[in-house]
Amino acid sequence: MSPHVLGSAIVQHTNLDSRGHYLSLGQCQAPVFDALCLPFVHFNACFQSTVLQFQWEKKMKKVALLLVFGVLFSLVLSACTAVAPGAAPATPAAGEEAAGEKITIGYGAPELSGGQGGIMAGMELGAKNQGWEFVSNNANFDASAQANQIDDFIASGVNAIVTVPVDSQAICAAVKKAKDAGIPFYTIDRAPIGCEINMTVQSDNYLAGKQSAEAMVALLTEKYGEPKGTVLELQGNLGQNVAQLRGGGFNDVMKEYPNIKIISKPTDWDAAKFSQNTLDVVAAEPVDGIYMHSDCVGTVPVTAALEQLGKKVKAGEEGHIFLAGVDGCADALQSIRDGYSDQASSQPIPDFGVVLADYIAIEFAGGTIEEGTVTRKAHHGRLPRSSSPTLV
Amino acid sequence: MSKVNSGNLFVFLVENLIWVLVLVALIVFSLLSDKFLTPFNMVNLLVRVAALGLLVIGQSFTLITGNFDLSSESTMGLTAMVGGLMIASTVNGGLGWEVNPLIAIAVMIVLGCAIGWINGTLITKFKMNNFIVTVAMLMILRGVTYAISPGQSTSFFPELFDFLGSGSVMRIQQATGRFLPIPAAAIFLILMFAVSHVVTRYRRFGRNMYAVGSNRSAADAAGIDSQRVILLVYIVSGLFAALAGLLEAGRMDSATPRMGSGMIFSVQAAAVIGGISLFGGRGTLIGAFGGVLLWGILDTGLNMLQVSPFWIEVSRGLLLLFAVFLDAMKVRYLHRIAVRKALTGNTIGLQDPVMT
Repeated sequence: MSPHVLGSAIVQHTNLDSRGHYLSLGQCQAPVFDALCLPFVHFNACFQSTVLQFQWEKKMKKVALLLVFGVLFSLVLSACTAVAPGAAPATPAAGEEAAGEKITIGYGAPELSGGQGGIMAGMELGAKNQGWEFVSNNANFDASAQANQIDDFIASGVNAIVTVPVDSQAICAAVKKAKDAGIPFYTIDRAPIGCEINMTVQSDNYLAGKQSAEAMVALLTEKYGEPKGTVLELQGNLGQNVAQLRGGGFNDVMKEYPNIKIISKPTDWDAAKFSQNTLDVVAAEPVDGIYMHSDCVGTVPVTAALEQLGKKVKAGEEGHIFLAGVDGCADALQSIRDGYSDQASSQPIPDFGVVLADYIAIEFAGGTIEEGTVTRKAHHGRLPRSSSPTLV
Repeated sequence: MSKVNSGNLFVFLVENLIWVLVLVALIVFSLLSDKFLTPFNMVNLLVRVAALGLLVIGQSFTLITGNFDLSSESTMGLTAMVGGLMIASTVNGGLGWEVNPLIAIAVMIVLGCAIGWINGTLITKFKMNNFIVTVAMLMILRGVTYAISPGQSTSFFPELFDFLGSGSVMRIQQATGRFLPIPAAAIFLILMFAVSHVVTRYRRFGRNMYAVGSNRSAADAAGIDSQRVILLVYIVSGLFAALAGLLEAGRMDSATPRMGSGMIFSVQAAAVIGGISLFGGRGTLIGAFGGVLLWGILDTGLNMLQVSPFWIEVSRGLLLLFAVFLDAMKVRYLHRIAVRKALTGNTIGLQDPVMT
């Protein structure tokens, strides 16, 4: 798919306003390659990532910012390719091998609800971009079924296997079989624990938490003239490292602002607990802001709870409670457009696969992936306003 | 006379239909994909259905007596997790005991039998409903598995523990020069089906099972201790669930808290497709083996043909419906024959147009 096609998708799904608001791509931080906030590539266990954050200027907040995150990222991607055509996809490399036989990528999804469907669609797009065949399986939360499906990939002789492991440890038996059969193995979203694979692509949940924290600090500073206030942190399931990282990134930033009081409540990713904790804490404390470990789960119950308390107030009006969160789900984006939410640190879910395909192509062509390898160039930081018209 | 023959032929065909289906499925898939009928894939097929097959054996024992054990998938998960906790190091999710694998295996087997004994005792001694008892156990055991793990996988076991699941007993050199390993799991599965077939078919215990399943009061009247038979089949079911847990843990080199979850539907389906009747008293272990094979062939074949996972589920459902339909047909037909026999056997002297 060419960038132009991506561009037209934007026309269908978004309504960019040209009256001067801007998108800021959050702090695409250092270890990220010279790519825009693009992917975050892991080599075996090392962790880097991309989190895209968008904020908008306060005075512009009444301007409708209609942006679906996935499309936003497509836009960013198109921007990259448009800006730096020289760094375009590695299709020719794949072409060389395709001379003999068609290259096939086997993709094993752990399940297909929520973000997983998006990840698979991204991998499919990435494979198609490279001119590869794409075959997929769904393990439906079952580690044994995933092992069976990988056996089938090996038996049918795919050229590379990409999975989101159902279980980080149990996947290792399958990794070993693939290795014995000489098939390269990649993962997205979760890394195996205890065995080596060619590469994994994940987003940086720590960075996401940090970005939300920085946005929250900025908002509080704007409100009081100095960083102070009370923030409610609605945590995910702390047994999982995703929640630990999202909390860690947030709290590591907040530690430096002793005047900001953090009240942390675990929710186990349960919408009912997001609601209950909001009701309990906001009723009792002068809460200035709420940080959600998942805005996918939290946005609707939290705003509903605020409404119940009579505290659902639009940004800029007296009594507004700042809402920030990680994920950048449709609900959160809608809430931003409506003026109730203030920030989302999003995962570039649709682009995991597209980017991974570039690296797979490098390995197919006989190259090796070094940390710092860049496959797609793009702008750092703020997306220039001038680029919007070419995209839309 | 000819009608009798065709009737018997019908019964014979239906009894062995599973093997016809297995053969047809093999031919169809090998025509559709040249990667399907390879030695590697065929051997692999046995390995992937091995755990399912062991659960089907246990299930068949209970089904033949007219009972069922819905808890076997959780028994499998729990025994695997207990074994894993005992032998894995703390880094890999275990308790750090790192006991001898043989001791862990023994504990797993005893645990499996004990769970079966509890099920059987509740059902026979306390006259509790077998459906509710085993569903309750399904939940309890799964919950216990999550509680003791807690929610984490254990992995990277010693080779001896993994042998049944991922070891190979020998390697055969192929024409291509590559070695084809013959997995222990495949041999073990075939062996277990053979042993249980002999037990159910040619031993008194097996005949008692069929008697209890066909007509429990008649069996009791004939002096068979049906309570004891039922208790024993539940213990056998627990035993095979533990073996399945051992095998699966070895194959994956890890025990996840979700292991076996949802498998009970496949177990019931494979048994029924293999000709084991849900009403008890009918079906053979050889047929059940065919059911397991067909299940695995469909799974592998449809996966390799890149059929959407959703349609794979639909095709399995259709196959199951077809199997139950055949079973119902068979019951109706046998019933009709029995009625005719009864009619011709009485003194009114009516002649059965078919039987004579």
